[in-house]
Amino acid sequence: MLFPSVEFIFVFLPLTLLFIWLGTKSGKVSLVNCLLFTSLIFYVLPNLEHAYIIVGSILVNYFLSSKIQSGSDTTSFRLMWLGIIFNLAIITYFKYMYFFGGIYNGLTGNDISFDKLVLPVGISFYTFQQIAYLVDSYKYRDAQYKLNEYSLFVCFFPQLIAGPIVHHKEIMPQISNLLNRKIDPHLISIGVIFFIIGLFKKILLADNFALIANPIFTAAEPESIDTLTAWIGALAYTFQLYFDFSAYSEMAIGLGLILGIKLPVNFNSPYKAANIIDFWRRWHMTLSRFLRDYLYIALGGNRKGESRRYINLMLTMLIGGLWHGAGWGFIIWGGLHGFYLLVNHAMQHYLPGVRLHRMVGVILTFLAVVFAWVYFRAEELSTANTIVLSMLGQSSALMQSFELNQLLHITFLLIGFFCIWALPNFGKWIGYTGVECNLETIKFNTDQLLKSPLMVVVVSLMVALSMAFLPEPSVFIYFNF
Amino acid sequence: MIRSFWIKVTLSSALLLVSMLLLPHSDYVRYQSIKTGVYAKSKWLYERASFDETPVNVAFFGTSHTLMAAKAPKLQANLEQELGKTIHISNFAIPQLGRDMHYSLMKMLLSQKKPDLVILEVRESEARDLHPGTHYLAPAVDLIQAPLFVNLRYIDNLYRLPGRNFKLSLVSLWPELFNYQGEFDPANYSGEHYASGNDMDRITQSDREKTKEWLDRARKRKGYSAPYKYNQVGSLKESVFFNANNSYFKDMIALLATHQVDVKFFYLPDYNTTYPPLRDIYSQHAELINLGYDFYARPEVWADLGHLNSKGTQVATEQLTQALVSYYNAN
Repeated sequence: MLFPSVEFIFVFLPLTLLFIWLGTKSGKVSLVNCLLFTSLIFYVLPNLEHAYIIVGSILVNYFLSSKIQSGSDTTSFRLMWLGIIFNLAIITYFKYMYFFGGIYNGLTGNDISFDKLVLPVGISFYTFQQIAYLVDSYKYRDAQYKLNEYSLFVCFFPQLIAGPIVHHKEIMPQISNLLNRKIDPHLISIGVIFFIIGLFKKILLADNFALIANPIFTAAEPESIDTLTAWIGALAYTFQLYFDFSAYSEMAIGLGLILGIKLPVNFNSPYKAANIIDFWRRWHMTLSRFLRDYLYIALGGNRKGESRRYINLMLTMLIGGLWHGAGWGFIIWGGLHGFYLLVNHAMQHYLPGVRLHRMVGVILTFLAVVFAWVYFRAEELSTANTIVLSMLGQSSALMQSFELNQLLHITFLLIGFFCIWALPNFGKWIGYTGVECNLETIKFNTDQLLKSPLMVVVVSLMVALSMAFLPEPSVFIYFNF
Repeated sequence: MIRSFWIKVTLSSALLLVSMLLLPHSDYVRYQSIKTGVYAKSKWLYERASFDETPVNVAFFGTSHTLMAAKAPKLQANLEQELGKTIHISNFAIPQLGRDMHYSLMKMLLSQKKPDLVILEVRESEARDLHPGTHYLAPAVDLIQAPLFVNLRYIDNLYRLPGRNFKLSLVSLWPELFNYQGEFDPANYSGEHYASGNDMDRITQSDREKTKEWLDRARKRKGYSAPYKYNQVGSLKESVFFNANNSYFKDMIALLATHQVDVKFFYLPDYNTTYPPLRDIYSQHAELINLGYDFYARPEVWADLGHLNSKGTQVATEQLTQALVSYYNAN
């Protein structure tokens, strides 16, 4: 079920809130169980054929984590690895089998048939979340939760399908506290504003940038794409992805707040980053954190010397690329970011005195990111290569005469630049820093903001335009990962 | 404070949405707003009605069945030969059954042209749902005034309106910027008869024939209980289930009567239909052109379960020619 859809906004969400209100008011059902029930409905209804996977995965991981925490060191260690292998096996089967099978056939000359399976929605997110839980269960042995609480931690519908990838220590205490919590209209109000901003970004910005980018990336003859068109396509996709993911992240935070849970910030104006290290502290922050804590550090991090550090970095980014999808484009995208990070770290290490002007840094980082997104988006490597070459002025296509339609695209791109570089980040504005943030502070800041008549105008415009174009939403890009 | 903020936001948003409904736009731009597949024909429909001064003597309205069965240029040539004068035929059919679409197109045509005769396709039954594309083409007021009772599309069409009107008014301001045509351009006009070269044309022009076994298997796959595609229901259920399409059907008959345009119905059911239309709401209004149950049962005239192939079209065109010759001789 899509957040920016009539069914979600006008049917699922109101019914969920009503159900929670009625359930908790009567005192017969706990808020945890209400949320778990609605989260399962949210996931299962549109994904019935894959429901057994998430349910099975929750039960197995919960069972294993209990055993890990009560077992001896050796047993726990083995059980942890058993759990990790179990989770990776599921994701490999559904997500990577076809891709790796093709490579295997190519290398060995065999012709084994591998089916391209439909990817269960959200599998990459809930798998990583549970792997982290298993590892922490082994390391800290302090994760004694009830099955319904654990299930809600995995299934909580605002973050189930496209993140943020939450850590149990961020969420479980909040879930446990839900039992004593009353509905807070103030918090709901802030959540609704987050949701409206996300809705606007998705419907008015991301989906319109997609209309510009899609025909260029799916052109039947990519070699006919001239330099200007290639740049328009690459920038349009850069903005599409930005607004799409930013929208989802804000809607998730908004829904979390409406339901009384603070979710971690996953997206913090990444195109304002002045270097690539900073970019990865701002883009898909919870994935970066997972990769750092459970992969990069597990590989040895920077503890085994400078060269090993770079290898670890590159490996982490390659796997990060592969996490997004089974395809060479994603691997190259990961490799490019690994390379960027490597250069960035090397410069900091070997040329510590060199400091670029912030604006130069922001533009260079942005351009590096734009080139990498081309590989992330294009369905064929050859298309990506052709677009990149065209962007570099190496197109075999003659520069086409400037079409009026391109003026519209360029205007829209300028709006995109204005939004990413000139507009404030709402979360930051009101002081929402994630799980640790002080609710009283964000309530106070929001109150100050809502006093302004301009805010009424802006929010009303966002609501009206989002509602006007709501009937034709498209799927969030990160739903595919 | 929060309460007053949300009251203001709700009222202002509602006001904005209502004002979007009132935004003016060009009808020509609206008819260009479906750009996908065979539906892109809507641009030509508007051009034929509004910009082409050639009269429309006979206009066909219907679904893909009619789109593929009634070949206007051939019919026109046949009539010229038989009657010794030019009778201009236009095929205004567009895929998918939904009388609201036929009503919108007919209303648009009649606002510009005065045909002698309208030939309206009828099938085994009216459909329960309306046409999924009407919200693109119909004027806002028609969508608002659509029948309310058991209209499965009403809400859906209505909530698309503010966005549609907002977009259309923006496009109407700078059509070329959005790849639309602001003014009629004869160089970009298909001419008196629409030639799209799309799949529908290719299927009709092909000699694709189906065997009886293939067609019977297809019927079985689709779960059709012989001999109808639609199951018969009681009169109460009928008036409930089919209310929206029946209403539009009656509106079309009334509209044609107001404009003093004659009407005939063209029965184009699926393969192997052996009975007249289920609900006899047609015979009281006009004559039914029936190609004959023997014809519908001939596997070699079908490209698939619902569409005639070139052989079928040829036979249908001959029969339509005879029906039109009779009509013009009698008038």
